[in-house]
Amino acid sequence: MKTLIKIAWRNCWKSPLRTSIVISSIIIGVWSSIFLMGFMDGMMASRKNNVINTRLGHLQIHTPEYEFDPNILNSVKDPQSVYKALDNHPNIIGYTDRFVTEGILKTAREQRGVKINGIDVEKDRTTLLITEKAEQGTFFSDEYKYPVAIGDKMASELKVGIGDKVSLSLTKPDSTQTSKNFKVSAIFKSGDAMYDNYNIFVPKEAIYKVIKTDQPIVHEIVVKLDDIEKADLVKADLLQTVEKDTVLTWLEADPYSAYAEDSYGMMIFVLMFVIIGALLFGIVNTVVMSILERKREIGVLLAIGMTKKKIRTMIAIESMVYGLVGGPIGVLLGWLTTSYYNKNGFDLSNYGEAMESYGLDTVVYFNLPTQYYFIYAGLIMVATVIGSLYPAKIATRLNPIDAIRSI
Amino acid sequence: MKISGIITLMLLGVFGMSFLFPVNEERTPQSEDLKEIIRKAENRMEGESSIASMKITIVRPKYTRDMTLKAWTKGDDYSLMYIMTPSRDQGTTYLKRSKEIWYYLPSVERNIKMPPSMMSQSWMGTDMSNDDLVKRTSMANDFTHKLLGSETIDGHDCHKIQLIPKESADVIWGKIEIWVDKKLYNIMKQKSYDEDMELVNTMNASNVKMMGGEEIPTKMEIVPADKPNQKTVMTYLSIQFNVDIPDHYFTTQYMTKVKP
Amino acid sequence: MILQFFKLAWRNIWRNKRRAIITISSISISLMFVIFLLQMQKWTWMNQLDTTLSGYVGYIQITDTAYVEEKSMDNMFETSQLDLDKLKAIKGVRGVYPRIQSGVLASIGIRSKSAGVMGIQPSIDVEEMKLKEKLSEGELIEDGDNEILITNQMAKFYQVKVGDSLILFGSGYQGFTAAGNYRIKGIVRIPAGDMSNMVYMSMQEAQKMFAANGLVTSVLVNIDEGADLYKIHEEVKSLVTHPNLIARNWEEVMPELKSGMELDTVSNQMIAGVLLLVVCFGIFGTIVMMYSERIFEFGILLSIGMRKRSILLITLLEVYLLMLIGVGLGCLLVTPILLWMNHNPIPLTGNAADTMIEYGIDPIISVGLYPSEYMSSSFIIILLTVIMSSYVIFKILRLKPLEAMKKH
Repeated sequence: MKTLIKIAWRNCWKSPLRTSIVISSIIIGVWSSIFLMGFMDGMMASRKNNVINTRLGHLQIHTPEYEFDPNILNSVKDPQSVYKALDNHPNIIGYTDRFVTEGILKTAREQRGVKINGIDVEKDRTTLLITEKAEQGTFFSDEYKYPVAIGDKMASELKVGIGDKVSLSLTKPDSTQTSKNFKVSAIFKSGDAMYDNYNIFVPKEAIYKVIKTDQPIVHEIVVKLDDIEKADLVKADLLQTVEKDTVLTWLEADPYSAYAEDSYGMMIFVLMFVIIGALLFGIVNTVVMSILERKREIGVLLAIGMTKKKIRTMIAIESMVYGLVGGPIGVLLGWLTTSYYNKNGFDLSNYGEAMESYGLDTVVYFNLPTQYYFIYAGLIMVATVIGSLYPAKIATRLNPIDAIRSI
Repeated sequence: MKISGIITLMLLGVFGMSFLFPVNEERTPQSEDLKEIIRKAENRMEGESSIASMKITIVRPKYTRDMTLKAWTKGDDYSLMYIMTPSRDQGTTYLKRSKEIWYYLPSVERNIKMPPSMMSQSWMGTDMSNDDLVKRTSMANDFTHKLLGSETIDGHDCHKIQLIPKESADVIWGKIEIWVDKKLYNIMKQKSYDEDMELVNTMNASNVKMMGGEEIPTKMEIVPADKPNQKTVMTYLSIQFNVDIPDHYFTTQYMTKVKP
Repeated sequence: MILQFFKLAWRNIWRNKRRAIITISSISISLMFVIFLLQMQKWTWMNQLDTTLSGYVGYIQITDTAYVEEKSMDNMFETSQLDLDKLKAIKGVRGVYPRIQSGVLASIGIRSKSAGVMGIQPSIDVEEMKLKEKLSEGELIEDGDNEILITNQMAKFYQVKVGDSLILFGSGYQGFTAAGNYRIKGIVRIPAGDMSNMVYMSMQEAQKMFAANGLVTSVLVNIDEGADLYKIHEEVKSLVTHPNLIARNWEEVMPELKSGMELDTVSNQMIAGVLLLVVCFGIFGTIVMMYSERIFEFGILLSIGMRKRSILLITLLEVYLLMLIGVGLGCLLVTPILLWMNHNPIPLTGNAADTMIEYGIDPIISVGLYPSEYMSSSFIIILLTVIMSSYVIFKILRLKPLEAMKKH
């Protein structure tokens, strides 16, 4: 066996240029696909984190009717029992309760439908990051009695800046209309243009004052967990005590995220398949060519009594050398680039606007779960072994006498 | 749909002019308190009750459309309007009860309450929104005033007054300019500006005539500043003041069977 | 002379059949991979684009010029200003769909909310908008029907079912009141997005309600799979002669969709780039072997007095001939695979599939047969091969006869 490996190794380096081309093609293939996967995974992770950290949290609690009719009366039915369940759960890091209703925001010239989010800044900060996304101003300056935070795109479309007034109209719980002037205290940018163009934030106390209620009204409770993977488990736990309201995981709350996650997985699969297929073909091609070139040599080996099995093994080892050398180097290079861009970020600001409208950051921090490196290296090995089968078959089909005769 | 909240006031004027406060014939512009002038102008518009018929002309770049309607008004909070022409829309009834707006549609024989999301939509295709009709601001109390001089509008000598909203007031305008008739206290012209002090719309009143026993402008037009070739014109055909209108007129039950 | 070179090159190629076959297969299989990937990407892209465009926006949208700025009922136009039959007759046009799109207040008396209204021609639009697949309860509407379809989200909001009625109220053409009480004939499943709050009614009924006889807000011109949008757009423009009308293609109507699509294209190009890199090495390896096998032969040719230029010309001709055969064969061989997969798409499952259905996208993966992708892939492969053949040029120019013969 040892001799076989030696022979195979030597055979590989008989034509150093060819071998280095095959090996480099494997290196480049592996490296670039890891690069791509790191890039896409980083993009997906950033979107996911963005969505969870600024908008959805890990879990959301509403009253069932709120899902299709977000009106002021569809508030959480039994908030006390929800709080109790949340306070006692070990996996919950924080939660924030919000007043959320639809309303109209008006300036002297224009008006548009908005979602009014009444928040308690201190409490909200424990769960979501939106209050830290202010581009200008702060989430809620004490200067104004009725401050409001609006998205940057909305601010520029409505031509309002910090300190300008806007009028908010909404329905009170007794179903009459009310409106109040608010002063723009912050202009935020969450990274999701669609969200920013529809959501505005006001302090909870201010909105309670506008609708003249002493009882807090809560429409949405957003929960942050210590581990995203536990969302389903915690949901099940909560549902044991929370009876009148519904609990949604972030995936359920945002079907688009679920779609993006899955279709991304699919894309990675297709990508791996195609690239490994192309690599495999390159290897087969090279090995077949080298065998046909060495027909005579193999013929001699057969003639002097080397068994077909041994020849087959020798050729298998030859093609595995490519994978064994190229695969790990490619994986290593891939790991290095991915870690580099994981730290420094990959700048894509040229596509900034399009990316933002998809809820993506313009700087992509690469990210790839460790198992992918091993999976990839493993797949390359398997591919090279499969790639050796066909050339080995050709070699053993040779008739020693013909083989020696032919040049 | 860029509409002034102050047109509300004007509309209230249109729909409910009564004269609880007799017009002061003596004018002493220097000494007279500006606030008082404005209060008087507003009081001319705040109504007890009235029945009016009027024509509304909507001017658009591609067409002009006339509507005639009959309106019953009681105080600030109640008004009922019945569309007479065009015949396709005849019988469509509109009811304002404090901050609610209801429509009755003869073609479907149903009442519909305007939901909040639709309040910003145009009212009957005019340059006003439903919201404009229910919003209330007091020119006298919610603004600080400054006399800018005198000007003649449609043959009437007017005070030109600038109104700047007070910090505490829920007014969306940056400023408003009004021209108040020195003698009759009718508001003859009004210009509303946004926070950048750019003109948003202009109201012009004209054709001051004796009608229903009072001298009032019988024609008013609203011109949005950014759409120079469109406007809404309202003309009184007749008006009666201080008519006793039963309260049940302003209910959703009654609006389904209004007989003009 | 040239002809002779061709003859020589051709003979040289077939003198060593296996070498020719390996080279050709290397090129053609590489090309097959590239074509397959690009066709799949393009298909996915077009599939999503078609879903977004065909129902509501249209590949080409004909509207009144004023409608571009202000989507108001006042900016409707008469269909008689257009020759719909001539539009339909343009080559590559799948169909022409007049539409009325507007907003109304939809109410059951106590519950009211604004909703979109779409006046459609069920006889052609049911298929175009895939309404049959989306129907969850009741029946579809027909031409001239005075009943409506609503979405499942609306049914939930109003707590209504098939057979109940919904009041629609809004403003119609030139400020007329638009109102009607409509029986719900069917409920379609559109749970998310702008379209989840939409009432569908027949064009005739919509025109009646909006007091807009003979008027539409837009006419959509949809094109066949793979047809040339820009060319058809020009032809449509030449038929839209009325000065008040404008025909815009979807890129003009929805620039934000275009920039989103461009982002998709970038990630697709990155994937294709990786594949090309791998493929490129494969071809290069083949070229290198092809050359190194023949160093001895070149040495002999040189020493018997053949000029380097002639050797170079013949060898390059060989490479290019092999390349062209490879490219031709690749295109030919990949076609049955594409055809098969186009007819037998791979069904998807899981979250993605559910969401895709909800967004109105078919939950399948398939490939297209776009000539443009054949062209671009072949072009790229040809370009790469030509670049890589410079290795041969470089080597032959530096060839020394003695060394060449010694080396072997």
